[in-house]
Amino acid sequence: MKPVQVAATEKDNAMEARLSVLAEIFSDTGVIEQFSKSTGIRASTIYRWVAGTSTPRQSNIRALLSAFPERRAQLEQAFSALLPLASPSPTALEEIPSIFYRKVADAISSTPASLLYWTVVRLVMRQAVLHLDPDRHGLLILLVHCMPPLEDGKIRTLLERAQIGSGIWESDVEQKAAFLGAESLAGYTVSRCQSAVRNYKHEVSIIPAIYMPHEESSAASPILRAGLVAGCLLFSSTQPGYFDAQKRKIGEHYASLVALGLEREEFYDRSLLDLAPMPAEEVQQRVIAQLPPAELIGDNTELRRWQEIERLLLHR
Amino acid sequence: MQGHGNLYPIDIESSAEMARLQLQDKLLTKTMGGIFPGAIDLSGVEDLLDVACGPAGWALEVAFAYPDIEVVGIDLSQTMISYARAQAQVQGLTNAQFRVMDVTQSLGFPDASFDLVNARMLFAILRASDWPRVIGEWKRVLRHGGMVCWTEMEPAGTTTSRAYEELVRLVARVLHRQGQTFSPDGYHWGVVSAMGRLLREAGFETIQKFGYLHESSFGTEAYDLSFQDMVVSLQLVKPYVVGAGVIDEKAYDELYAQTLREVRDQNHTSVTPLASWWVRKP
Repeated sequence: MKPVQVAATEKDNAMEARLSVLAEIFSDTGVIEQFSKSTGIRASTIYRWVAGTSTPRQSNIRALLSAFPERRAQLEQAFSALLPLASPSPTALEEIPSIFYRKVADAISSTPASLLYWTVVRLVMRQAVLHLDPDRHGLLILLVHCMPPLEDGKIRTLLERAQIGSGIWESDVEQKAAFLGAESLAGYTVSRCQSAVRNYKHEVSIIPAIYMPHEESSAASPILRAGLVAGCLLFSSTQPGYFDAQKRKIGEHYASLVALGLEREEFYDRSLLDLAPMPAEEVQQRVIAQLPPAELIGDNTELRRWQEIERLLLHR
Repeated sequence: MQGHGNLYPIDIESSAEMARLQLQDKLLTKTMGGIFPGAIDLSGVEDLLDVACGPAGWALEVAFAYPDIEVVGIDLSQTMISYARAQAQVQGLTNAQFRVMDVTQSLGFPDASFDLVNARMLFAILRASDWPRVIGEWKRVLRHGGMVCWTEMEPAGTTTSRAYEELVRLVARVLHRQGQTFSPDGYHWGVVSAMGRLLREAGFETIQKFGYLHESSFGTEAYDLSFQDMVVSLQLVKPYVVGAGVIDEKAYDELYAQTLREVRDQNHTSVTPLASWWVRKP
């Protein structure tokens, strides 16, 4: 029984502290009336707080803290269970939180090999979309991989392996894989192992891009390790001019984190890249529709299927 | 209120489990048609408690969609809570806070602190005998007129994959041994069938109840992500099931491989039932 008694005592002490500070503050009915008038909280509610038959809401606690700054320390201690542990900072595009780096590091050290790729990719992409589009205007992130070299030793296509989105692209319950090639921003980025951006749909640029519906700007960050490339993260936004320097830098950091979840064998020297142009997505989907959808957790059977489709598309 | 340790069959500090729970949050919300089921009146809700929030996908969605609601999420995992706090910060969600708390113990909040208590998918963390006092705690921290929204699923749904059904029933059998199911024989979980009784016995008044079917058949909208959820959860729960001695590792791996073959079949069908109860504290 002892643990139950200890818990009850702690709760009683906390209740006593709250009632004590409230009784002190509201010992004068004039104070009650003034507080009620300034906050719109009924006097009867305040009396219930003092009697202990009702607990102030969080918004009320903040009103108390504001109205009685001389009692701040007492109030914070008495209502600690209901107050945020620290005041969150306003929205700002900051560095990736350190807890997230730790989480990825934990994933690498303790996740079974069969789940490592899936775990790292899902964690990183979800974090990236929430970080880069906190107001949910509409951001789509695609993970694009190099397909293995063909018989001639060249890499001819890239494959979209995963996606996550916000706003208009939030529903990621259905993932449609597609091949990308020389015609795409992803192809440009991977071939050069350099980030690239198309911030305005109609700007004149040598950087290629094929825009999907609702997309106004796009950026891509290569996934690199020791000078080798595995693919890229491709970012699309519904907002023109969205990918400023800071966002592009953040995107590169997330691409670096994705790299940690990939096997060495998935990275290639850029000299192997000789991307072909790929047909439009509708054409590809007609071919792909005959097979199961792309999935992150696959085995060699799935890879062979994608290679089969790749050959069909390259030799159309 | 005495606790009894962590009964969850998967390591709660696992990064893979965190990623899976984030995925599951999205699938559940999609199945339920939104973050709250049905057209429930939330106008009186100012303070909301999300019990066993995990990586807080749902809680953060609520905080974003309802900036006037103060959302508090609690979970046993320090890692999940730290992560949830960081997520709230990068998204600028100042109306969301998170605390480490054991939901099987007395909750560290005063009486009448919240207007709504939300609980989703607690079926694997409690014994059947724990539910009355846990629900009693929900009632204690609610203000008069406050609501509970409680959602559970019956993981042993129906599917054409014999191997998958067998694996799920193995998990149910182990949980049953530990008193965590309402099933008379350990064949299924049974929480869904017990929810109404438990809430009524706690003195809540029913507002509305909702039933859902999560379909993850081949070719459906949810197939792809449900497949991922299934594969990850079967791998993560393997040590628990094999460790309980109900199957050896080789047999488990064979059933798992068979599951993958069967679920990838174009004729594969699968539905999982869920239920949500909205109740009010008189």
